[in-house]
Amino acid sequence: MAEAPRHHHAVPSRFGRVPALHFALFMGVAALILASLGDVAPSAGRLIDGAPRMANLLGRMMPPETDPAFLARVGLRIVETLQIALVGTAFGVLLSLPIAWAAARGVSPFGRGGFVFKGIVSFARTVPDLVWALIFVSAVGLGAVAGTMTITVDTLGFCGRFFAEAMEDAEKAPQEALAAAGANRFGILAGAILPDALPSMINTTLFALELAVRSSVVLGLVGAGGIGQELKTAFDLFQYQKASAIIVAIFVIVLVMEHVTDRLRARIQ
Amino acid sequence: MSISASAVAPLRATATAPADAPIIEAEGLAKAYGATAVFSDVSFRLAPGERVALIGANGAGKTTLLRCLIGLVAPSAGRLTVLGEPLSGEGIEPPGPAARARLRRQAGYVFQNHSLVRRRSALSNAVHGLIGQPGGWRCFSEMTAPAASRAAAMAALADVRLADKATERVDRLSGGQAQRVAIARALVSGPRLMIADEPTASLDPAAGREVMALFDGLVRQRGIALLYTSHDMAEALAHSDRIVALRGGRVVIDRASADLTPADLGVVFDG
Repeated sequence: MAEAPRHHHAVPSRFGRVPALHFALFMGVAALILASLGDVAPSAGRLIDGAPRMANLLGRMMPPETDPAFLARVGLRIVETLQIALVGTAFGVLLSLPIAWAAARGVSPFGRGGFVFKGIVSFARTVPDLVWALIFVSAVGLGAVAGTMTITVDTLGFCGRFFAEAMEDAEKAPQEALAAAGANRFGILAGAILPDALPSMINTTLFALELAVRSSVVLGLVGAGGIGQELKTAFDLFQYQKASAIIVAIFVIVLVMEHVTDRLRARIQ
Repeated sequence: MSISASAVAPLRATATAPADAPIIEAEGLAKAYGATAVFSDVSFRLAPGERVALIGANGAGKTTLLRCLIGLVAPSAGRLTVLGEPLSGEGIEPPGPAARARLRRQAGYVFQNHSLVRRRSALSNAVHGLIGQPGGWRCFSEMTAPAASRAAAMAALADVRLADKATERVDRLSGGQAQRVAIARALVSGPRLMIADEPTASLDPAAGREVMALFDGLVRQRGIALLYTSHDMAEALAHSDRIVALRGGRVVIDRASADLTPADLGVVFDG
């Protein structure tokens, strides 16, 4: 019996053909990184030269300052930092709610005009927090108020975007059921959209609070209150032991905040 | 558990049109999306206290037709008057928010798969049925609703024998219980018209029978007009006074249920 003819099919290549444009873009980005390395990347020589200075700095930081009067002042600054984060986040979340509603596609009472509010949220998000802090320090002067205003705008940029997305993703069927019962836009928002979006919005708020604590720590570097101001003073006056004590305090509050928000998030899931 | 007709409370609705006026009058109604016709030349009437089953295969246009009746979808052509509100016809402007609100205050709509707000309690969902009533803006939650609205929602839940589940989240209820909450939501405003889109499609046979018995009681006790869609011919024959059948987007049967047999209806689903 004749053997059945065997069909030979070529094994496909592991990698598909790369379009010329993609290849050119890839090469362009790679060239840019290589060109930038010489200008901004730390060279081996500089790292070796800097190592003794770094060791010297770490030595001068040890042991961290434990003077009770100093620690009490740091404690007060930490409380102020947390106050800036909490109040700024609260204001930011309150502002985000109506702006997210106005920006959310398919939900906004302004229809296609919602893009204006999306633009406001994008602007708040894309300008870095230290820039906002500089603006608010110029406007209202040095101190915690400028910090709170910075965190408010920062939170608006963050929560405004994610609240709007949560509203857009809310289940449509209950919204239609409320519309059929005669609900207006506010009734549909409060009755169907917010209950569905709430877990996601609480999650976002907890992330915003975590970010706010981190941000409020550094805002003091530009005079916007909080523990960062103390850290800047310590470095400016070469009081490295005090600086290390502040860094430890910052590490502890950020860690505690992460732990607390992680626990809260786990409970919401 | 079965629901008896005696569980249904007296009519709470206030009629605004003459008692004998048709609840629905549709003549030559059509709906198309671009060049695609969903249904065309649909004519039928629904009288007060009448039960009409709208049957047809998937894609026959039943759900779209129901949505037209409460202004969720605008018809493309034809004349339509529901509860005295002209919704479509020659020289008739599409209904504005006020007309739609008037209409929806007098109609209850039970959606397929209940469409409840799943993270909220049965009571909150029942209260939602009053959100379109005058002064009902606080009814987005049972916590904010006026005392009278909360009491009415509890009465509606009692009507569907779910008063003991009032504080339970609806996503923790069975499919049949959830559908009964949806009926309570449609019932709470004391509607003159109840529209139900395949109310038993997602239920087991026993739960389906409970729901249909509840509808029968509402029609008998309160004189509510009922229009519902179904795929189940036996159910349609047992729980309707008249059957309107759609095939290919057109009415092919509009007769008293007593004059029809399952064989007559079989043609609707053939080929």
